[in-house]
Amino acid sequence: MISKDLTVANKLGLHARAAAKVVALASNFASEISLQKGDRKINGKSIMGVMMLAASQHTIVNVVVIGEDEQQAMTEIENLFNNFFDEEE
Amino acid sequence: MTVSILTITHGNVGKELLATAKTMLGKLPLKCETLSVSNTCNPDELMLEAQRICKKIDDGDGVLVLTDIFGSTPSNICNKLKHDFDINVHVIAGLNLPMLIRALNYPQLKLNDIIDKAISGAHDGIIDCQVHN
Repeated sequence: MISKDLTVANKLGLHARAAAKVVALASNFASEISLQKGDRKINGKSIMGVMMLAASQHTIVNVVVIGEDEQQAMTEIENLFNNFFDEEE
Repeated sequence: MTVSILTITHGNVGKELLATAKTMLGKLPLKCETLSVSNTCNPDELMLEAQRICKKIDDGDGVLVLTDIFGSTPSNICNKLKHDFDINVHVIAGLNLPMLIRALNYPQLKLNDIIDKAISGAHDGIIDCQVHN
């Protein structure tokens, strides 16, 4: 299991398009992936779940990955967060 | 084989929702088409057009037909469609963006299973923002 706190850096936060990218990436891995903001923990492979977090810019989200490909999954998810979900700001 | 989706709605409701879903997701993981119903349409002709579209987009796993409001002309067209035994369709009324997004999030599911996802997606997407934190 790998658990990491990641910061939502982009201006629009974890909005629909960013959420779709997280889910598309997470769905490539066999591992279970969850995201948590405060008390709300959701399945990282569910787009509506990720959107329900309503994680705005500067929000810290706890990501937990459990499974055989957890190392690669966490690396790639972290990269996506750090790259502003491929958005310009 | 995957399920295909057809929206049959007032005006461009379905068309705009699908376009929005495509913008959100980057691409649509299922074959999707839309049929717009206007006030001046001929429902019988539109029914034939709906049948034609269903046969065209059916990938072998049936067509999920989504309409906006039950009892309206678009919905009545859908409900006649489901009596055509040459095509495998399932009709759901109450189309909203969460329903569409939820259904598209499960492109691997068969028709019988994607129905539940679409309906729960539609319901789960209704949130009283005054109380949601």
